[in-house]
Amino acid sequence: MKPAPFRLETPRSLGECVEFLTEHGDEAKILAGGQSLVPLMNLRLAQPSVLLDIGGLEALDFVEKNEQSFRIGAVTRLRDLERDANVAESQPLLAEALPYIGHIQIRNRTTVGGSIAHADPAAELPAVLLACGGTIKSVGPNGEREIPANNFFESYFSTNLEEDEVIAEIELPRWKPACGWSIQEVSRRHGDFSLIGIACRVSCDEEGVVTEAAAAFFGVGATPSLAESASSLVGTKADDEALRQVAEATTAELDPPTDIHVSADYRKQVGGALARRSLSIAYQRATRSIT
Amino acid sequence: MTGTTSIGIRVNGEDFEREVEDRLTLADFLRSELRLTGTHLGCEQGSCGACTVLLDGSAIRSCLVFASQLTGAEVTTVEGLANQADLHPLQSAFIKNDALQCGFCTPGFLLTAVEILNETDHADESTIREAISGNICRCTGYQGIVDAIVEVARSGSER
Amino acid sequence: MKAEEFVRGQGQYLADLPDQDCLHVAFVRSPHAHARVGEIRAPESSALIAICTGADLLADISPFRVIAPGHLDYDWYPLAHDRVLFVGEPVAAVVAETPYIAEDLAAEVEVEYDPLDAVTTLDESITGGTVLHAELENNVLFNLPVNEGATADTFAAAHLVVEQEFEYPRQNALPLETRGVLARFDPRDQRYTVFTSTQMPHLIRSALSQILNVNEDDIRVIKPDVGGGFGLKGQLFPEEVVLPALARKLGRPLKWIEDRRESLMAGGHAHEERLHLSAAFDADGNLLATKSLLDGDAGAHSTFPFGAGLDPLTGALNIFGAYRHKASEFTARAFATNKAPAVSYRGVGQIQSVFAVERLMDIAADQLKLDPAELRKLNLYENSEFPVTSPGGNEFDTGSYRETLEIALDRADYTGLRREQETAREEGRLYGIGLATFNEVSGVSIFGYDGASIRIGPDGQVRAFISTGSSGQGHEKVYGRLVAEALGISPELVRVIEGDTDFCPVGAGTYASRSMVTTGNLLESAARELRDKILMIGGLLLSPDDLIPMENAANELRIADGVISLVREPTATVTFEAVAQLAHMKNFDFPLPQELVEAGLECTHYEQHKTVYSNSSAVAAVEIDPDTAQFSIRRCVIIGDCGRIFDSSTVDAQLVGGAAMGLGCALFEHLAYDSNGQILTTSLLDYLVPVSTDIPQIEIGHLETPSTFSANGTKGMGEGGTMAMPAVLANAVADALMDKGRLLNKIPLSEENIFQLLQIS
Repeated sequence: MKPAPFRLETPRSLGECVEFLTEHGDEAKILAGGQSLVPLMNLRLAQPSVLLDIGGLEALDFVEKNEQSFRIGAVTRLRDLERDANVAESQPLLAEALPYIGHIQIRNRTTVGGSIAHADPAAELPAVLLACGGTIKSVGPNGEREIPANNFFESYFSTNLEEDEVIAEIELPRWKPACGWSIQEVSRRHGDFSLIGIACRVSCDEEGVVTEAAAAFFGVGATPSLAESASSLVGTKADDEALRQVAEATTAELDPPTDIHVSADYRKQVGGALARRSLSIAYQRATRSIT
Repeated sequence: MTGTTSIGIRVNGEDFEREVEDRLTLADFLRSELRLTGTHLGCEQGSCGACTVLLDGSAIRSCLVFASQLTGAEVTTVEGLANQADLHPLQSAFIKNDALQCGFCTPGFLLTAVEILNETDHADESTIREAISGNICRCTGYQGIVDAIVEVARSGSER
Repeated sequence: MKAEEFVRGQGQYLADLPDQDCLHVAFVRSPHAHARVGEIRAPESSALIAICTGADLLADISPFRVIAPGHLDYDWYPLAHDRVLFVGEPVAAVVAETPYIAEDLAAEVEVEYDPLDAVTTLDESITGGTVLHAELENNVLFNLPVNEGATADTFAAAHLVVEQEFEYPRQNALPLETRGVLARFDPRDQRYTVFTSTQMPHLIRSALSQILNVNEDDIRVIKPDVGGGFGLKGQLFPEEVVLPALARKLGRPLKWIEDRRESLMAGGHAHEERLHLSAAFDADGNLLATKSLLDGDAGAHSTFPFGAGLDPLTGALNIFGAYRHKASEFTARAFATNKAPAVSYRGVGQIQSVFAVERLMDIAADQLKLDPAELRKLNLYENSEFPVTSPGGNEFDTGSYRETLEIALDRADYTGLRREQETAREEGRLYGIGLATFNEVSGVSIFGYDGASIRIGPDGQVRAFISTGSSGQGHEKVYGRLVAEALGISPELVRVIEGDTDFCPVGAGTYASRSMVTTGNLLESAARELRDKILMIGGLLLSPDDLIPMENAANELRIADGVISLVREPTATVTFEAVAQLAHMKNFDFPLPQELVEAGLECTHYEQHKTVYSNSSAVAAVEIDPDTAQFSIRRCVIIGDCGRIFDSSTVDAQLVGGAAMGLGCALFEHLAYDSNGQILTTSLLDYLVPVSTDIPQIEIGHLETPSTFSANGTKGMGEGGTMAMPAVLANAVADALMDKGRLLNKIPLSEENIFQLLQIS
């Protein structure tokens, strides 16, 4: 199928983009990498009358690391992140997640901001952002706004962004020492959206006792969501019994949907197993860095 | 409301200036405006990889990009791979390794493979399998395609 | 060379045909599974060049009936007549300057629908009371009981009866090139030219001549390069009627390219079937009798040429075919539902029956306390038993049923795998081994004759015209070589021409793994006949005073690499080109003695071929991850026997590629509908086919047991790999699940279906 008619605008800055958004309201859509929007347009499920192509805004294409934080510009392409030594070194969870996202041709176009703004609940990046405690920086008519990831995702494909706001960058906290990570997902084929997945981060002290555990599920409901159950690992050494309890609590906690691929039951059971598996790997990685 | 845009674009080393409807996909631009019909459309949903071309050196799905976005861009299609009479090493390896039957998916695989070879020095079988997993072939079962790319990667003859 | 054209991007598939003078068509399709169609309102737009509804079209066409044995026929209309019967059924065609505009306008056409109850399952179709076709009494589109009651006594006296119901899902062959049609009408000679992405140009022409009410010769059907067919492009589709009819009416050539959504929604569903099987064994494990009921979900219509019975009938006719038994009773039925019409898809009928039969054999082995391999070996026909007439009435030519199994077991190291399984089970891992062995109907010629024609020009250029057509099977390469070898000349001189009804002999096209068996044999016999003539004319040039008659030519003369010589005096030679020249009387010094030999070098052969039976055996080992219910394939071996192998790389490619497709059928492929008849799988994110990372190393091997029914000894080789996979993988997964696996009776072997089995306590 072919897309319905629209007019393409190419804002020269984020400010200009916001002006267009203010002018056109919900008639306008931001086009970044286009890897989610254009399939919907080709199927005529999305028919914006104005497209604002910000993919070429060089000011939003950057990776910047400093003492406190790690910032990524909104139109930075995922393939560029994959190749970026800073990402591999400083953001291992993000680095591990990238190859799961689509395929080469997709990652060559997909932007970080686009993936976050699209807010597909089965997508990896929103969950990584959540597990890392990241922040979304947006720009709107009233200036800049910082939104913590756990307040950002509101429902299926819907976020805290106003109609006239656009993502400028995301910020991830610097990775602490003695911190491990893992991303685990079940998808029907390589590169597909996950049936269910989990991105997690575990920190421990010098004795190997867990001091912090965060796990974000994706593919389990309307938004990526932090698993309450993971926090029960704190104070343990993530032994088999502790992990078994987390798995059980996770299965009880999840309230996922059924779709044409798998049932809610499947997601609950497998969610528990993935929690156990991923937290165990993350813990081992955390302890490896203290010895 | 439909818009149009004037673009200047370089395709297979040749410069083109065209006035295009904003909604015209790159794939349709190549096929209908430039009559480069080697870029095939298998789904227009961004799933099958048949329409893969190189955009500024990167393999992308040309059904998910609009020609109107591409002023100043450089595109390589399957028609730009061979050097006149001589086939690109990947093209020869595809023939030799039975990497095609109906041939419809072949251009997309070739262009994806070009990026893999440009990117990696030691592409092994599992790397290649993962790298081409965004392209669908219904005929071959992929083995011949993987073998062909491995062969060229080993020989390093693309450089 | 085709392969070189393809890697250069120079293939000419339907969408690539020159279309500068064409208008473009988009179809308005039903959003309802079942509804009465009311008023259709066209958008008021100057861009709308034409719109054609079902009622408009009736002025230009006749309704059509699919007439085949066992089928109940009714009038079929290419555009919805008064009711729509499935989501995606074409209701109207819209014509505009570009495909983009045509789609814009199609979206603006307003159609009034009065929704009716939808029939979406076999049970609803059989007992629900809603009848889809007014001309029929019920929803039965096909019904063929065979040998009714013939097994009752054997079953009553048997030591063991195993019985099980199996379900096989609805699938789509998904050739990467969707369908498409480009139609022209030339008012000067009043002829249609219809380019269509099809596997059967002549049958399309026959149907069009009836529907368009013109002579067959008034229609030229051309198949351009076809980007995969796999059975799907082996029937008549509504768009193939609408475009030529409308092209004539508008006086403009028209083009339509199906999009993927249309294709998944309405462009050819297949395979959906329920199979109820029973088998009777004696105490030693000998199979005595079988009883089968195969019910196909045909969707809304019988399609031309095969009709609604295609899958269940093909499966039933050869069910339990590889296993020796005395009595067989079966019924094949097909029912109408409010889903897209069923068409053929690689492995037709048998992919389902092999899956079900092989599952049943494992269930029986378990109850007989026999190893699954032993039970199979005991019951498979021995090579020495052929030819054999099966209790279902099939005449089997030759085969290596038991041998392929033994070789597959050996190659896979079956005893080693069983040891590995023991270790795995001790460690609590879910490791399973599956077998499948079967014979396969191929080379089927139910529509009469096929033809092949060879024409040699005055300069020695050879053209071979055939009635079958490639959609990726490599006809050009294989047949070029075949003709060259039979003639004794270089393959570079031979061009293979196919898929054009103006030039090619009449025949049924390419499906059912039949090309090599039909046109392969015909080309060979035609080439041999021509070779004798070439030799005889060569003899005239070499020994003008001592005439060698045609019947002795093959003994007294030789041709190799295009050079003809006398056996008795090999140094004296004449070239093939010189003979070709003389045959066309272009040699003025030495004119052809026409009283001895007719001028020209042309030969055409037609024949209806007998069905031949290939056979295959497969072994697979899998391990299930109990956390995710996904499994990995540790080993996969397939040994095929397709009779004489002419081109081994083509045969290998068909076996491996076919197996990959079968793996898709086994693991992923499932067209899902909801209870209102809405289709849920209209994108490639929902309807999944295998990608490179899904395919394990598939180890293949061949035996060559020539067919005694086909002159060149070949049998079909396009589908064995495909059929093997659902059966062998289902058995391996069931084996891994141990007791819980007994209940594995459906595919796909998806995470969800395996999870459900794992949950059984």
